[in-house]
Amino acid sequence: MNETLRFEELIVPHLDAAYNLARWLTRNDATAQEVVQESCLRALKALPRFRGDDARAWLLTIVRNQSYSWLKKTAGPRLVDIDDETGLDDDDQARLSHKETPETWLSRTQDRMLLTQTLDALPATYREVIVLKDLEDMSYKEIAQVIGTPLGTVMSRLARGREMLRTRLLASEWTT
Amino acid sequence: MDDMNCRACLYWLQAYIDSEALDAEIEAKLHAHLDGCPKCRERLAALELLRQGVRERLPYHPAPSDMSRQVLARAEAEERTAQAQRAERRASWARLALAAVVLAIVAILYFAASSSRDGLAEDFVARHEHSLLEDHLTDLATSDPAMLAAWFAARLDRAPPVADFDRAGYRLLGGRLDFIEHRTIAALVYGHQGHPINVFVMPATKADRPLRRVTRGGANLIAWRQGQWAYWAVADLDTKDLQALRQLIE
Repeated sequence: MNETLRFEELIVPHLDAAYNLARWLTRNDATAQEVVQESCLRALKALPRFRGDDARAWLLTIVRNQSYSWLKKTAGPRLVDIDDETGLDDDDQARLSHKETPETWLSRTQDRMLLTQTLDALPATYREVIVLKDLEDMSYKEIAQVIGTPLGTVMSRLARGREMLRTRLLASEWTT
Repeated sequence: MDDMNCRACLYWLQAYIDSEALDAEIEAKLHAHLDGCPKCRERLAALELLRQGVRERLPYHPAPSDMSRQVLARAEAEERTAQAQRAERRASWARLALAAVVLAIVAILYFAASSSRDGLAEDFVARHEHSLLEDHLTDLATSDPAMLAAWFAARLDRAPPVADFDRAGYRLLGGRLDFIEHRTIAALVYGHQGHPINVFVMPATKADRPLRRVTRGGANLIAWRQGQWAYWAVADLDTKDLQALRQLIE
């Protein structure tokens, strides 16, 4: 069947990327599976109309939309609030830079559990650009396509997201 | 763009560490700013460590191994469901179409039957008018029902009942043999208020309905069925006068 062939050719190679994004956005294995299956079915239906050359970005756009639908349905719109601040004031920042010795910082960026928890706690709009850039290694242009924003927004969200990640990693209580 | 400050620097540093192509002018300004700003240099170092840590340590979640098989199975199941629904829709359309065709045939047969009966009504009106024009109202002029009944009995396979209603205003004038639809039938003639009434009587068929009324060219006609006989009464009289006669006959 032609459709199955195109599915094998265009969608199957990006199932890992799809699942990774869905898993990071929904933070739940069962939900991520459901989201990816639903996204693939939609992609399969839309396949005859797909003319682009970037099937991964196309599929991830669908996965992202499905993930957000699920997030809105289960947690309400607050969960995808874009204007979440770092939650730190100037005093905290000052205290943090005092803590930020290269050694401390290096050890914290190497702590898998801490990294995961801190990224999981970021608002989804910052979490997704970091996942797409650093785990999926997409170009800014591809990320812009997936999240549906101009290139400049990708860059400012990355700057903001990474900065939030940095300050939160430093603010966390460190135990050895 | 504006002069490179620490805020703008943080923004462009992202593209710088991610190896995105930077405008040459911006890159020059970025380097100039970094050269003169130890804080942003520290930031760059921190960002690079963070990026490295994230890339090396953050878990990547690959899809479960049977994901593509699951998706295809679900797609096939949905396709089957959709096909079944389409087939069901087609079947119900077919049933609807069949019902419409049956209805149309019934309607056509019904109207064909009634129009042939209407054609018969035309015939009766024509015979009625003919009987007046030719001055050939009766073959046997008599107001004696028994005599007329005997006269019919001698000429028809089945002779219709004959009665006189003179006291009710419908005087029996006589009878006649008439020819309708290749059949010889009895015509009873009554007089009412100076108008002759032709009452055609013949053995009833299934097509004869209990009661109907037709008006054709000034003549009124009522037809009804009574037991094994079909009656067609025609006159240049009001329908209610014909109805009164019908009630007398019944």
